[in-house]
Amino acid sequence: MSDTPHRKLHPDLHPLLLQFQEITGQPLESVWRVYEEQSLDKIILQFASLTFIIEAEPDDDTIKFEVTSKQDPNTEDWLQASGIEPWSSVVGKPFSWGWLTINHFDALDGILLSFSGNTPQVLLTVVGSSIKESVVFPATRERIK
Amino acid sequence: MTTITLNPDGTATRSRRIIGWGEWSAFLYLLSQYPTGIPDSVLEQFLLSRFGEQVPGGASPTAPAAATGIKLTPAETRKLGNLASRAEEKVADVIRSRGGSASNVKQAGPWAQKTLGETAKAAVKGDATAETAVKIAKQARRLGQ
Repeated sequence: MSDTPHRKLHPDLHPLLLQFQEITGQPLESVWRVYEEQSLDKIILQFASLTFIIEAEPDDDTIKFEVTSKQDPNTEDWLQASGIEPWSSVVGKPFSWGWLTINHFDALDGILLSFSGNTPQVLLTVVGSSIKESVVFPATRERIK
Repeated sequence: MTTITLNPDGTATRSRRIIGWGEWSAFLYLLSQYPTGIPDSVLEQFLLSRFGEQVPGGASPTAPAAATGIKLTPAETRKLGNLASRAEEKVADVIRSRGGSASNVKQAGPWAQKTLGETAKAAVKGDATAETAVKIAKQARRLGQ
């Protein structure tokens, strides 16, 4: 069966999307933040056997990320964030989905992450050379009056 | 919390800030992560992330931006990325010069008529509209190319 017109739109993004596939199914063990000149420069997600590093690019407010072999926490620079929103509710759960966000300036400036679910739970966006963390909640059904 | 900042001229500035329950609980959580004591660098990062420039030593010394007369702190320089060398220019001019449209300038709001340096200073102090203006200045050229 041939692909639909809405699949494989961006082959140039496949190397990035493959990073998500590498960590799929791995439980999130801990989360660390690294600040640079008061800006949240990096977020490090420690999985069972891999480390996922997300970084702000100050020159154009875009986001970059990579999967590496598991790294030991560098407690000199890394600040524990596992117990703080938006991470406290997803630590311990397996990574399930990752999305890229491309804004109306055609800049890849964020990612959406889901743990043990199929809708986004965490949104990371770069603004002002800093990563902004958001929690994404499903909408509650409105009561009809 | 009382902080005393030593000024270069030998005088000292004293400031007071009330620490809320949220900040106390975050600090207690941090303490629990380091049973043998919090490393100085981690403590400094924690204080910077919570109190920013209100912490003595948190506000780095000012440094001149390249090719401008505006003095930017390292945090302000980071906010601007490679636009730091254009800190004296108006945000609107920078957006237009990079190929941005009139609607991009409009999206920058009142900051469009301020310099990038002024906008970066407000962004470092936490002004979200200033951060947006900086981001538009960084990314505007993407649609114009």
